[in-house]
Amino acid sequence: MKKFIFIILLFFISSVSYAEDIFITAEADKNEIFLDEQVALVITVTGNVSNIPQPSIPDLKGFTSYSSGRSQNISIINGQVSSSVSFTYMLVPNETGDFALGPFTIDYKGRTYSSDPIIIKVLPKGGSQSTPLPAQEPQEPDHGIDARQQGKELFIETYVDKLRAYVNEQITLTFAFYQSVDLFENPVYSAPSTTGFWTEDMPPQKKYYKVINGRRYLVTEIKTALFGTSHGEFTIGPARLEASVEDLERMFSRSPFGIFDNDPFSMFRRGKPIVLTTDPITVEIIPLPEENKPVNFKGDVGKLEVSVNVDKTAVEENQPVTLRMKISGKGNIKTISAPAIPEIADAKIYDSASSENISKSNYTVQGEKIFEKVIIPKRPGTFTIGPLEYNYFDVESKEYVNKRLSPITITATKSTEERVETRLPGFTKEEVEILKKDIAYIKTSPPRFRPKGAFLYRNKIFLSLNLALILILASLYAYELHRARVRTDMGYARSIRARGAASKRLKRAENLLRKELVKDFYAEIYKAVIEYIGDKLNIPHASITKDALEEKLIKRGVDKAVIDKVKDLFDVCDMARFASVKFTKEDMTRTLREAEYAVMGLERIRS
Amino acid sequence: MRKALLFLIVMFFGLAGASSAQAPEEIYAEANLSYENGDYAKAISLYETLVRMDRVSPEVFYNLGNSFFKSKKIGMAIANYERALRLAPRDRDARLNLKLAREMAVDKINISDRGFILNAAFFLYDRMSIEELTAACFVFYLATALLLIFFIFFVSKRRIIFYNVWVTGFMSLVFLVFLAAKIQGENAAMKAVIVSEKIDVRSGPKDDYLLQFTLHEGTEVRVVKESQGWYEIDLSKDLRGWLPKAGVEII
Repeated sequence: MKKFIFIILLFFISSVSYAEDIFITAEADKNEIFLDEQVALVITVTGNVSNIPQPSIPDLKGFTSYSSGRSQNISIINGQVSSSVSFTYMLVPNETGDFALGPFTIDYKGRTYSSDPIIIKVLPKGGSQSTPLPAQEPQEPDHGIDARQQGKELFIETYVDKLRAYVNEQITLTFAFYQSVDLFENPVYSAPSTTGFWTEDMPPQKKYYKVINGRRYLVTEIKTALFGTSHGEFTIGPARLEASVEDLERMFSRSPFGIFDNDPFSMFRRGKPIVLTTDPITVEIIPLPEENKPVNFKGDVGKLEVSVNVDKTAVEENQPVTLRMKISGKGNIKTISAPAIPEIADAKIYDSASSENISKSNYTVQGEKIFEKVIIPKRPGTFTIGPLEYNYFDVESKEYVNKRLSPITITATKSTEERVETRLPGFTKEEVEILKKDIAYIKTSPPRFRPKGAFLYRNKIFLSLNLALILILASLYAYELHRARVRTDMGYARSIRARGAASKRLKRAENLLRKELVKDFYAEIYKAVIEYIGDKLNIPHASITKDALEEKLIKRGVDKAVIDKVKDLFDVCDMARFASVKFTKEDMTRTLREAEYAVMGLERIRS
Repeated sequence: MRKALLFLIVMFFGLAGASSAQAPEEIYAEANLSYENGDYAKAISLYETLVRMDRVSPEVFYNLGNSFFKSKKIGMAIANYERALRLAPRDRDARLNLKLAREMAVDKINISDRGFILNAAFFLYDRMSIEELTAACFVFYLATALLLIFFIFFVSKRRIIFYNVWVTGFMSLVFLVFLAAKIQGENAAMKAVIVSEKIDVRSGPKDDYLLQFTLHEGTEVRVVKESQGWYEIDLSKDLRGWLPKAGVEII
């Protein structure tokens, strides 16, 4: 078992050491460069692993570095995979001196691999490829092309038309790219940073040819208008261009044997990357003069014209009039704000819309901006708008210009409509402005007084009404149950009616007693009792016999005394009816009482 | 001279006393007039006379609340707005004024909001006074009773009537539950408002108990217990303590 684990462990260890075959090398294409040159740094990582990580590049002192690509090469020899990845960086020196680059390191699976450092000597600038100066052809307006740039196959520069400008005055920044060789691919241009300026691109790009020192360059110009937003010194950052040219130098500078080193697919290889930068430009933005500065000056600078008109001069009251103010000319049109309109009594002024139209012909920002206001007269009569004033600073004459526009008069006639607030689309309705919160006013309507605790739910009458309703319901329900039973249950119905029938017969018997009709009397008593019992017990009258009756009554749990009374009663009746025994009036009265008693006693029987 | 003064005083009090024998409508009108003239103290005493006479109405409490508000007695104002709202829960003025008065209270007590769904569920509960709930409950109860009578006697229509009985019976029950809850919440549970500008809440009903926290005028509390001129109050889940009776007004 232990052995087995050992073998597994061994396996792991071997596989780990196998994975560790990573080498990192760094190589520069030249070790001595001039300040205006650049050096290509290639870091190659080889190993028998896939997913080679990006090496970490330490801060390269004295250089600005740009990554310029990565190439990978995988070979499989005897089943072993080995791959190498090359990372190429372009280094642009910033100062002269000797610089040690690296060591470059790579982290892979927790281990760090490193390369040997590279020493690069940066020499002061001085014509890497100086060519004799032929007479320069004066062509384009010359702006003093940097001497060091001359003679190079590619170079860029930025320049401005003026180094001192007023706030909000246009400065034209030109970026020019000079090329005398063909490029491998479209160059990548990074615009300079223009912090502190309002910028306005000015297309189109201008392309022309220019010969400098006997070389013919294709010049591409990109112009940008800059407007200083506040006074002070501002720096336009360096512009940068990444381009790649065919690497002629490399192809020819190799040793004859080096041909074998050369990649047979050099046709498809990437060109030699070049990074070009320009120097930053510092521009001084000077504040507008304070003297003679108009009160309502809003900061517009340029050469501007202003005009104002209304769409109609006569309207009905509460109908809108559109006032158009047009400011046109040269200057930063976008930042122009609407001239103030003085308040007009009994009329409302609303901002409606503003539109601008900018053209950049001759690389000067110009155009027009139109402000629309809607004026609604609130009463009939004449209204005077203005006189409107507009101020700007004229950069050419370097003084403030005040344009005074003659006032406009509109006439409002009485509205033919009833007063209807016209609401026009696009108007901003005003919020109700809460000045100060106060409580709502007291109530003055006469109140209906009542005692404090006088709640309906505490009212005894109300509560008893509720209770009564329940009782009424309950009794109605009980009554309905009874009615339903009478309808459906014969026995129940007979039992209910028994009492009434019996007392009717007993009443008749009483009458007979008064008339002293003995036989009839006893017959009536007999019938009353027997029918009563029959009804109560729901037995047909015909089938009642004394004995059967007794049995049934006992079954129903009737008192023995009552049963005996009933039996005695029947005996007496039989005797009176069928035997000629003399019965006195007293006897009859007693019998009547007994019959009543018997009926009462039997009343408790539930059918 | 002295006698004359005494006479005058007696006369004055006599007249003042006579005013309490006036009809409540007259007192009310006089109180409103005092309020309009800015004599809030007099308005308060007149409205309170009405309350003492047991002649109340939502208007009286509302106006009394306003008078207290104007006299910068936020606690009493809140108490009276609450009273007005109990009698007339849909009075927007009272609701707005109560809100404003509460905003002016110093203590920030987190009143847990019921949330949207529960608020919708309590829509009727919140907007109906005890009287209205009683009436609604009674109406549905009456309807249920009538339907039951029909149910008893109209045997052939029993099926339809039966469903209606369910509906009205359920509604009646709902309002009964609302009513019970409202009575419990308003009449049984003692709500109170702090009326002293600042009041110390102690751990027991005596001045030498530990001072737990301090409350300010306008804070609404619930009275839990009463003992020897002190109330035990309940502010929130874990804030309880005793304070002297004089510092709070039971709503």
